[in-house]
Amino acid sequence: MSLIDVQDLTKTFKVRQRSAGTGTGAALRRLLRPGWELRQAVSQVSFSINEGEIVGYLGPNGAGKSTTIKCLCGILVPTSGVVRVAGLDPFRQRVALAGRLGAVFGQKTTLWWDVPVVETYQLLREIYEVPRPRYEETLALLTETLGLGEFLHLPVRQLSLGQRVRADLGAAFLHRPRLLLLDEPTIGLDVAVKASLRQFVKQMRDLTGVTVLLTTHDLRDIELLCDRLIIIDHGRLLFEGSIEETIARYAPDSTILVELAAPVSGPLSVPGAREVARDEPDGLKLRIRFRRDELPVTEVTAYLMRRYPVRDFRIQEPQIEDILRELYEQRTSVP
Amino acid sequence: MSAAVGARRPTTARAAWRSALHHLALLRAFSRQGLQVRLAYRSEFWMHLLNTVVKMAAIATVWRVLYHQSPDAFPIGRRQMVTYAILAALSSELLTWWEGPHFYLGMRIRLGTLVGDLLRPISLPYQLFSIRLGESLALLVTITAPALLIGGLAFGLAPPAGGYLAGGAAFAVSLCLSFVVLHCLNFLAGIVVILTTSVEGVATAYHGVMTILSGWLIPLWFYPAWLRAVADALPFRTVFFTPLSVYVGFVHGSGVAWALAEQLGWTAAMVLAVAGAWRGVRRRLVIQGG
Repeated sequence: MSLIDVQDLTKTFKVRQRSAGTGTGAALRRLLRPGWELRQAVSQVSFSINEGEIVGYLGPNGAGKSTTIKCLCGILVPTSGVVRVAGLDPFRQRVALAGRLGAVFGQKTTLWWDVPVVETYQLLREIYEVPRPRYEETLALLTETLGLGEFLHLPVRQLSLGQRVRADLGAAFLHRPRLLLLDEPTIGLDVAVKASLRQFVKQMRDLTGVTVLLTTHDLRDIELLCDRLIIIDHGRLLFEGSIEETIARYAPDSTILVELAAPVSGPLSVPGAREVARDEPDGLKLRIRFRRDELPVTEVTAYLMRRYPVRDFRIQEPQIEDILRELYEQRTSVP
Repeated sequence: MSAAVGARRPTTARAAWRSALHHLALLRAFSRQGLQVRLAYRSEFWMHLLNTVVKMAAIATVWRVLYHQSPDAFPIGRRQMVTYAILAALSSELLTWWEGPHFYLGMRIRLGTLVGDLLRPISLPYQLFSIRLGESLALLVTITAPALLIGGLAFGLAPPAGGYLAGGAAFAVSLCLSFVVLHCLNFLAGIVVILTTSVEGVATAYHGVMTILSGWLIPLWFYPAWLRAVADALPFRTVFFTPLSVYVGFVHGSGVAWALAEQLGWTAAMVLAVAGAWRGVRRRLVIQGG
């Protein structure tokens, strides 16, 4: 059953025009008649997410990820399109939805700055009307899985980033939400904290069946956490599918790196390969790129072994990183 | 059908009761939070108390001197005037009208952290009201009460004009309404901040208006007729001038009931204005960052 349904979501912002020239004259003109322009942050995006799924919502900076998330929380009103979360209209039924939703924005805390973490938790318990036994139980679970014990009684301003994000994650989960929205939760964290966050998210999903939608630029987050990816850019949906599907679609090529025992003169060729290149300077290294579905690896390696003095070879499978880099970089060519 | 109605009534009653309990619990939790925030910096607490006493003493002294110079210019007695000044300084400190939603909204919008507040299952104006009320209750206990004691001992406060019971109750009710009106005014100023994205500009203008038209610094009876007419037509005076007038007896007899009724009317109007304006501005919200 789908928990999130988004259909043709479009969000347009009115922003101050920046291209109206520079200098004092232009500044004065803008003061009198500020130019406005419409910017489409999200454009006709549709997707749905099932209960209990962990979905990565990916795209380069400024692609429209956070805007989508804010539409899902009911903070922003969609310009057009339909958004349903747990059957509710987030903007119109924000208060009703808020009780079923937890969110962490990695770059901004939602905790009160000057009071100990546990005080904020107590306040959240009252706000979300969590019964005390359930609160105690959840807090114990969070303390254990997130290691909150060491800083539960410190004011938020004294916490390190890693502790703060863990505290934020705990705060988002105190009322046992059905949906967890994580906007770059691992940004700026060290390896150990990242690992514990991932473990926490996965554990909570398995334990409570919570649905998770996360945006991230961290590839390990994607590989270790996400059941499915949704990739957007320029506010438009680029792709939706599992990691394997994404790789098959965007990186159909595999590469074999070959090390030769002796230099080979003359032109190189491998039948069916898309690219054969010789790595300078000594010419002992070859790079052969071919389509996995057209040409079996065994065929390429067998041919190489027959024709060339191969000393060693290594097969390079495409990584999700390469695909994302390629996808993200394409935007630079678009004006 | 009557059975259905009969069955529904207790559940609505229970729901209302539950909701009331929830709000009380929230208020208690927010007050505790407010107290925590207030007491987070101990040195700040002592500075704040000192600041309040100095402010109170300064305003009271000025009015005492002025009264001495020309007693005929005042519609109330010397002791009442000094009391007005002390209570004005203290209630101004208690309501901290220069802080509140307008600054909070401006700051949160600029930092992009308003998102956190909008995640909570409470309406934002009500949420800010609860936090504010919590902080004010904390202030009442930690700063205002001690300062009032000091002021009373040092300057000699007049008792409420209508007697301790009736006059005191009228003043207390009026001050509670002041709190609500002020919160609404601050929130509306906050909405102007959101729309203009200028905290300083809006705050400067708004604080000027509050200083002149609310009566906390200068009692409105000193104003020329035209300015008095302007002040009378606007809600700002109900924040300080109404409760203080009631306390010192500038309004008395049936005038007190009228003043409270009028204040209640403004309170209702302001609450509606906030609800309407917030609904409108929520559609236009742009949150910084991403």
